[in-house]
Amino acid sequence: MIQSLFILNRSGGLIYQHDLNDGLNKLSANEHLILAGTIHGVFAIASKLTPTAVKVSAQPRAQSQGSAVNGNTSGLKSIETDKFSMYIFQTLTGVKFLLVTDPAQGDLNSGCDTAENVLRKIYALYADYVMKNPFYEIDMPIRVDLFDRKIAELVKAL
Amino acid sequence: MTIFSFWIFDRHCNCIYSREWTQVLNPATESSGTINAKANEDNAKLLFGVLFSLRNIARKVGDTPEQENTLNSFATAKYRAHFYESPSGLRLCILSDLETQNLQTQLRDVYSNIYVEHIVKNPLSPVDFKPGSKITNQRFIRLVDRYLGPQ
Amino acid sequence: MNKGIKASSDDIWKNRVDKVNAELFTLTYGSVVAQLVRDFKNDYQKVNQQLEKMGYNIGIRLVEDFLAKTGTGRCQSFKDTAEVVSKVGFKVFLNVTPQVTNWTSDGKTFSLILDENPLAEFVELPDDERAKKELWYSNVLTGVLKGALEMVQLEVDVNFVSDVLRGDDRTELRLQLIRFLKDEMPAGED
Repeated sequence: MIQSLFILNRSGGLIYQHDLNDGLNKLSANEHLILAGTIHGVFAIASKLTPTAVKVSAQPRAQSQGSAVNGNTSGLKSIETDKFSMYIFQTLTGVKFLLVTDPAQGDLNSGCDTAENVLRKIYALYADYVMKNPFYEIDMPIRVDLFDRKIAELVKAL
Repeated sequence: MTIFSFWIFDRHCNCIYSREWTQVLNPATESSGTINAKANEDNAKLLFGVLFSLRNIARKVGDTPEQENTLNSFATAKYRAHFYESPSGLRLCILSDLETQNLQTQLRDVYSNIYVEHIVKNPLSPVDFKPGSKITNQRFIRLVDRYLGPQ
Repeated sequence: MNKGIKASSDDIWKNRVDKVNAELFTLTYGSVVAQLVRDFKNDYQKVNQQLEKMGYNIGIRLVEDFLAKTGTGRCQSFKDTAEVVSKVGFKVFLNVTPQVTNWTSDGKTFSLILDENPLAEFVELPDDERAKKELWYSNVLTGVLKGALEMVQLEVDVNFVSDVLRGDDRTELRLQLIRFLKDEMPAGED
């Protein structure tokens, strides 16, 4: 079950936050901003921490065909805790989508793949309802009602 | 299941032990790698920063009055990091490949059976480490290698 | 690889792209250019600049739609970029496939030859001598390409070289790679 969605612009600033269910604590606007900035930084550091043994041998995991190839080859992809899991999808333009869900059951890698599919659908909605809105300024906070509604619909349909 | 490295951070946020296994690909050779290497100091600090930040996020978002939320692991497309924090503030972290799903039991084992037995209960080994000093207890190192190292 | 790209972009064009009436499209663009010419009182250089600015704004948004719907990954070389732009990009948005030619030896500049230009169907430039020498009617395309490629960390210079509306024998766009924007490259891509 999906708890909330965050969208970060290229510099790591929070441009969209939507709580879709209320399983988790409500954070203030400030705390959301801090969370976004932290994830942006941790994303890059996780890439730097790749063990040397992996760099030598890495077999890329087979990716699902026909959807946006994930440019995220070594940055942070997922976080597992007792109460929630968080999945991160980064586009080629540097925009990050964070999905907070219930904790993963079973195979962590397949949970990650499912989340990635949802995030790709959300990326398509972003490209449609945010990018094509002529009054939306790039990198600015997203205040588009249509986008909110479409996201809520997508999540309900899952 | 391939384990790349193992790190311990004390409650003063210092890295007190770091072990890296580099011969993971070639099982015929003796396992080698680095123990407490100086070059890993920067990586240790970065790793601690990541673990600390993510643990705080886990607490902020997931804590309930009944139970505290704990960070279990995080993953990139190349590796997974498993985390365990003891109530005394000791933090253990293992970097492994993506196939490994859950090393919580192993982390708890290392803590209770190896660290507590041989460091805490050993009157001659320090428990409160000064910044910069590391665990050099040979028995500890050997047992960790045997438990976590390539079989 | 070329057959694969062509087949997938054909498929995307047929099934996953909403379509609009071509006349409406041409008329809308035409009225934009005409209004700009009136507003700037026939200063064609300013019109060109304005068209490029508008194109830039379109390009930075269009690229997200392109990436989300076609699922293209990062190109490994500028040559790959040229192929993707001409065979997938132009196909999905304008249903034309310009030819990629005139590569310089360092592989940093190439030309796109448009056999047909949906923006300029039924258009004839006005008869005053300056329009045929100064106005690039489809200059919005230069802005679109510049903006879109900048969002994926490629700084390119795009210019029209010739235009059938001006009486030349073909419509040619020249794209030159200035540099990779390494500092803006998102972290976590090897």
